[in-house]
Amino acid sequence: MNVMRLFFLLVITMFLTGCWNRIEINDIAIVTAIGLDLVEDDKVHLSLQVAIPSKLGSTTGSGGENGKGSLVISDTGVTISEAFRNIQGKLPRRIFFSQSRVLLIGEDYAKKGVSPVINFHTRYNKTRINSFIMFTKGEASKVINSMPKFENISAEEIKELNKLNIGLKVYIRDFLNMLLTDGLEPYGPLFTLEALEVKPKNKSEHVQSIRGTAVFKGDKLIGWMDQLETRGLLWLKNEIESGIVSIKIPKEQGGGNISMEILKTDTKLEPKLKNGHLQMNLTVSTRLNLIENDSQLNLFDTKVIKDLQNKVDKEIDGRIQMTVDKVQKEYQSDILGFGQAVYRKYPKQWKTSYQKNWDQEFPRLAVTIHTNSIIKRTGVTK
Amino acid sequence: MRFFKRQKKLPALLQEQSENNPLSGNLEEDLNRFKQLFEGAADFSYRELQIGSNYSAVVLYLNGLVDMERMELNVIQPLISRNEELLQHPKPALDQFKGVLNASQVVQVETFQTIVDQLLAGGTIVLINTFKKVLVISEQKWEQRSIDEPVSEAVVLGPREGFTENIRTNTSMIRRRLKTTKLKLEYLKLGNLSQTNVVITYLEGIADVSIVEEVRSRLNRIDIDAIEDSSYIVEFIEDEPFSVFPQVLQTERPDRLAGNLLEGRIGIIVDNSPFALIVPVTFFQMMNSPEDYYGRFIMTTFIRLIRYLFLLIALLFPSIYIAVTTFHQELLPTNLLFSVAASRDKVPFPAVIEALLMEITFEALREAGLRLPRPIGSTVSIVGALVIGQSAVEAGIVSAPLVIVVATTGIASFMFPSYPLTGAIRLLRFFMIFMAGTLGFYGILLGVFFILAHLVQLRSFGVPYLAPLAPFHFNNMKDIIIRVPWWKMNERPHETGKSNLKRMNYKPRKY
Repeated sequence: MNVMRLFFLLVITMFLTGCWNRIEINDIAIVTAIGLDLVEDDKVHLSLQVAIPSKLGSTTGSGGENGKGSLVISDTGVTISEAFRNIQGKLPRRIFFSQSRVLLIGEDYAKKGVSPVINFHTRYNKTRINSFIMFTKGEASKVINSMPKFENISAEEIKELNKLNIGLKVYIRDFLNMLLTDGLEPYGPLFTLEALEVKPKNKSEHVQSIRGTAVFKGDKLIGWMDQLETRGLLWLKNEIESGIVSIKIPKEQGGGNISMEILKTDTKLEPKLKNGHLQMNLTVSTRLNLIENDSQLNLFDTKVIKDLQNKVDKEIDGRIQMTVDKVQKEYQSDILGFGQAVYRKYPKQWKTSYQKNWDQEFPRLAVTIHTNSIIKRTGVTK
Repeated sequence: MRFFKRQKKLPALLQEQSENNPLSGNLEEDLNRFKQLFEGAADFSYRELQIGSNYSAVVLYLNGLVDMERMELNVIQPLISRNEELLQHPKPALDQFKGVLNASQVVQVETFQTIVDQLLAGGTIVLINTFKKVLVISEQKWEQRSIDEPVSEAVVLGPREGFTENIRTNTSMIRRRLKTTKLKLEYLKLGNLSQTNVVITYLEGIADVSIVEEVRSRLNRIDIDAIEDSSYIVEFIEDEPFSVFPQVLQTERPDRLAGNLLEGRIGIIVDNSPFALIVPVTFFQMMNSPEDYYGRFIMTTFIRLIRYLFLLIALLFPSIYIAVTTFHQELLPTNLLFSVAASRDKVPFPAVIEALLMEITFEALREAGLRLPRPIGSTVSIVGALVIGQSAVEAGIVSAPLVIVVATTGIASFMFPSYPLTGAIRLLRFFMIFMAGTLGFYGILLGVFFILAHLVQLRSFGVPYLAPLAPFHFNNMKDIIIRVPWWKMNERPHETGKSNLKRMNYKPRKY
């Protein structure tokens, strides 16, 4: 009988695990997006976009799909979790964070410092650190209220937009990494509502858009970069996956424009320490496809192609230089990760002479950019 | 377990009272003995004959078991027609009477009990006065089902004949497939009242001698009044009677039995049952269809993979659905979660109750469909499809995704070639639903763990149930999940065919 008793004990231990929580799917309020703002008295204003399943589900349901598929519910609190508790008091279903993939942070909150929300997101087990983090000019609660155009819920659209890789794509875990890494300051995408049509007769509807970058120093927002500078940041970060480079052909060569599609880019950061003098070498290799040509150039001529490649080099060089200047001179925040590159190559020197005063070193750092572009295909038409 | 304990001493089994008194030789007296024995048995018939002037005879038989036409022609006619040679003989021996008969199989029998047994088995008994021995003529004939296509194991390619209820027909089908003296067919009788013929068949030199001996001893241990079907025997000879998994393969196909004999397994054929038993078997064999060996091997491998995939679906799909919707909502893609949540929004029951409700209804539909007479069988499908498939969803009592889950599971559970295995999986599905409903994925994990632990320790006639996977043997995997082409299957399965592994001489092709 001893064996039976032992077996029984063994079985009992299997039921002793923690973290056991059973909740029906129709008893949860699925949060799709989280918005954070700062209100008076330094209180946190938390807005949650919550899906309403009965408005979302099957198309066969009677009555059609009137009304929004989601609602935004918000409350304030001293901390995020307190605000979240307060919201729970107003919802008949349990707040379910695990499906939320979008975290929007308002300008004021970001300026005060984002470490509380990063802390909450990584510490609390229900929230996901693979959510997209984004920043808004003005209040996040306004953006979160926007109407979706394609998906059922605007948060889904935001998520899909992020996945396209046109703008920056930063997960909370990336942000956390950047926050904690020496010689690398965090940045995040700027999320705005843009007019749907550029020159409408009536007032245009708005649509979500990722354009620009929020630049941080430590956990505090210090400024923004526009779309062009963001492209430069993407080049530097080696995160360009698609894009167009356009070149204006000067009048004496016949005028016109040529557009090229980026196939592949590769950016290398290489710090050089010479006689105690630190220098940063950037090598950018790009492969392109020529996709549009309204100039008079003969593309079958290799000399013309070489000339074009030089022009592309200059163009890319200009773009990157602009971003580097902005970051180095205006914001003086090392979001480019130059410090990291130095640390990797010269760990000893980094520890002894650069780590402490990197904030002063960074703006003075000499940066040289080498670009190397190759046009792979030009198409067959003349 | 009180139910299974023997509580009272029951009286001894009802036996055929055996009489060993020899015949007297007096026709009147002997006939009366038979009449007495068969009193109240309306099918007992006899006919008195006069042979010449000196001899009288009685022909005994059971009506319906004997070919009357041939008995008339081959037994009665020759006896009563005046046979000069026989009549002029002063004192003819029984052999001479025997010589007169035209039947092919005639034997002399002396003991009373044997005569009765022969009579019961359909023999025709000829009693002749003054002789203490009788002549037994085998001219049995009774109505029987012709050889049909096997219903439970239909194939597209491959032989179409299935076993019948007649053991002679069945053994002949095996013999036709294995024309060798190595094929052994051992007869034995089981059942005190039914006296059922049982045949143990195996290939000498291939089958493991110790397993054959084990089969023999397990069969001989059976002491029961009657064996009505081979399924009776299954429960007697299984290693683990309380397991839900079948440990004996039941097949209707002679080609399958022959194929298994060649792999060193042992067949048990039972009279009056179209299902032959194959032992020992493994789990993977249950998952193989006979058609696997007739179709192209590439296709077969693909089908087998599908089959194993659907084995998992049949076992786990409802429980995974429950676990995801009640414990791990974060696992679903957001849009899918919305769809599921939307359809579950109005449902008043928890997902477990909902799933159990639907699964039980499905089982009821299946059972009702089996039992209903064929003309009204379609009613079940109409009612089932309409009531459960549509109305329940529209009324908001069950959610549409669950109907999809249950339907998929239902189809999946009928993909297995072995009907008893289907039952095991269906039963375990409820267990898994319970585990998922209480503990989520952790429960599923525990459940699968229990099932696997059970399967690993299970044995069929000493052969591990999960062989060759559980005691791993790579060379033996040729016919498990994949099926290699025939010209590569040069060895018998190691767990049964160890005594004679080589199956073929492989000649490399030169064309």
